[in-house]
Amino acid sequence: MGFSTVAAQLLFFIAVVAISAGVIAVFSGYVDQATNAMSDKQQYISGQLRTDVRVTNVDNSSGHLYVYVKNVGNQQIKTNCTELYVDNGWVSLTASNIQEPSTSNPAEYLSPEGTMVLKAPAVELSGSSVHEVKFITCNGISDTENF
Amino acid sequence: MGLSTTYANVVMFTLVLTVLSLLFSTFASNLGDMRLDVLAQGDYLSRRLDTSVDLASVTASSNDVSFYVLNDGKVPLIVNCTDFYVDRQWVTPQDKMEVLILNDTFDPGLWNPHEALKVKVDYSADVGVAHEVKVVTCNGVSDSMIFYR
Repeated sequence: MGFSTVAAQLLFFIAVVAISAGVIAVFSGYVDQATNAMSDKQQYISGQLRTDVRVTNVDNSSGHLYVYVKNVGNQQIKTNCTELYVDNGWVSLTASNIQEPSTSNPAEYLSPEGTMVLKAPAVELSGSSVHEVKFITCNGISDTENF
Repeated sequence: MGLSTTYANVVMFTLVLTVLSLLFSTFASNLGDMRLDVLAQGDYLSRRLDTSVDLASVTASSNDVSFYVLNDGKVPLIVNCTDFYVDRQWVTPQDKMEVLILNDTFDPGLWNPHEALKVKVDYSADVGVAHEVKVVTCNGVSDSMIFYR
């Protein structure tokens, strides 16, 4: 094998290594993104699987509307991004409207097997005799109750 | 086939193998975690299906309402996280309620299948008006009963 052949092989080798390094750089970014996306999706689905709520009671006596919600899942629920709909209308809730029923203290989180009460301010009920309350958690798990 | 082509093939093969193994390991790990969650969800649904309570009877006097709740499911229940409502009002355990598990010989403190719970609530129910008692277990299974005084 002459010197020129060795030099050509060397050049080819360097070129291949350089191109491979470039391809690896591009692919590693893609793999990282794909990995992160899969992990995020897995965490989201996992969170949804572990979340479950029940609207256990609706008290609309004496002109107020109290909605009792129980965490029947395996995961703590953050209350600051939960949503309440009454007769399909969105109800604005502040931190002070979401309370622990036994102490009436604001409930920032709802632990598994715990119950909280949402004290809906001035809700206008529809003319129909059957009304509907819908509660939605931060990750989209919901429960509906008629009253 | 020249040496450079062999190099290129080896490098490309290694590259593809590395990328595939990385993706596969991530995918396998995610699937493993998801499998555990699905199993837990199945366990939870199974427990819910096995849970049942029956409000057997309600008696009301001028100052209190007493009711008996039978665990007619297949799983033991915990009284501490069970919710009680009278006329849709939350009954606070501490101040105006007595709860007693009857025939609590097996696993004391747990509300086992076939055991009844006696609950006495300080509540003044109006005469001749329909009232409602509701029990909600820790996993959301409930029963309610209308009663008159």
